[in-house]
Amino acid sequence: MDIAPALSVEELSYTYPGGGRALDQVSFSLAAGERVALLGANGAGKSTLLWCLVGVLRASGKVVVGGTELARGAEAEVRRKLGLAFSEPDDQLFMPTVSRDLSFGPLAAGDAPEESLRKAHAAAGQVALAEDLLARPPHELSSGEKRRAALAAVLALEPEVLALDEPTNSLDAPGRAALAEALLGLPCAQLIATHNLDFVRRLCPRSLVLVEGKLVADEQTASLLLDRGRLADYGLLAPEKGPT
Amino acid sequence: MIGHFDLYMRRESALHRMDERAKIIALVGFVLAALIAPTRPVWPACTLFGLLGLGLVFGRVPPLLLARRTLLVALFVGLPLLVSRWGGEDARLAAEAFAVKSLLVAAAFMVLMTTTRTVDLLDATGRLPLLRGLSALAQFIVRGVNVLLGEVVRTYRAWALRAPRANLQLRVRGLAAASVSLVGRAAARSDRIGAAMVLRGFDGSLPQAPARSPAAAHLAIGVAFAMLSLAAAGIGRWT
Repeated sequence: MDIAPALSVEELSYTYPGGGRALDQVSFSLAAGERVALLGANGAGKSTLLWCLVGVLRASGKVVVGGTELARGAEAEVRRKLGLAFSEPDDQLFMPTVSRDLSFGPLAAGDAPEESLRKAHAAAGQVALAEDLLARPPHELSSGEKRRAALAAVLALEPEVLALDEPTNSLDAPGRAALAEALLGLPCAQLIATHNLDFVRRLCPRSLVLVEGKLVADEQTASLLLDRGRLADYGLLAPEKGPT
Repeated sequence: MIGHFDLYMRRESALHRMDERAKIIALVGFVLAALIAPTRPVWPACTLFGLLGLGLVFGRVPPLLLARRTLLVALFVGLPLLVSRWGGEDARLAAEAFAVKSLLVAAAFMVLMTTTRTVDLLDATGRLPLLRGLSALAQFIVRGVNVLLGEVVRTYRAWALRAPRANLQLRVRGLAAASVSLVGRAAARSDRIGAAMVLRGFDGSLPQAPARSPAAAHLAIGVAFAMLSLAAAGIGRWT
């Protein structure tokens, strides 16, 4: 019996309003619980692809998340199932305190206040965000704490698929390690857009590579990282061996 | 954190721990008392200054910090006081009353802001039915101002580091250019924040978080403080 993928993308194409082709016939799928890296140099189309998956940018092609096809009238359902963590946490934390930010999604989805608070605390626990930080305004948090708070805000909606845009930006080595630990403990499927190959090596058994909007590779991360020549062609730098 | 808009000073004190709603009740009573209290005889105003002193002690607010923060008010009341010297006894008394009341009100607000985070204060006011929408809007604005303030500080530093010896004309031009780019960046950021809200289910109405009940003891203290202030002012005025 075939198991429906958590995320299915078929022939997704997007053209910028100015005319440039950002995504060109991109197709792939993610199984439930699978962690997949989305690699590519700056400007390859990684962020654009993520914005298209949640319908903020309207692309041609087909996106199905947890059995729901992205179409007019179904955006809210898709966005509930696919949580997108932005590259810049300050863009994502808009409420006056972390706790209220984390409970915003569940409250907006119609959960009772107590239930939304429970989900907020559970999400904070998933990313090891200390309880005493929940009462603070987001601007009082460090970069690493903001990153985890933004991730928790998305997790509070209990998505089936988690998409992360450059999650290691502005994180130091301990911050990256803590984030990796948190992501490894999550049960949902994950699509991680990054150019940090050390991070990918630790987290993602499978990688997709975008070059100028085209999906040029979909393969095991281990074999991809061994091929330094091909990585260079893709505008990526192979990581040195050693701990992440 | 690069900079933010908040007068709150993190400290461990009885006033810091007190429920914000109780503090608002105390403040409202105190402000009303300051407005009706006479300055002749002087004891009602002295009593109010004494109550304010209690706030400083129980909030562990450094007096010098309070003096610095109320300096702006001193500038506003100083001018009428100065001008009243040529206006006769009535003008002098009126200017004096204006100065005393202004200082009392401003200092009380500063004690509240120093011992209470802006977000908690706005949250507490949002529990009042008539102010709910206004408070939600104000909370967004405070968050937005904090993010933008961070941008302003970063932009200014980036500019200052690249033009350490610029003359006044260049500085003005640099600041103008930085301001224009800041407007563009602020617009782009507001787009992304709007997207973040929509992606998490924002449909035009702000969900209300559950409120915890204020402790009865805190409310009693707040009400007692307000009543004491009003009693001192009322007795002084009508006896």
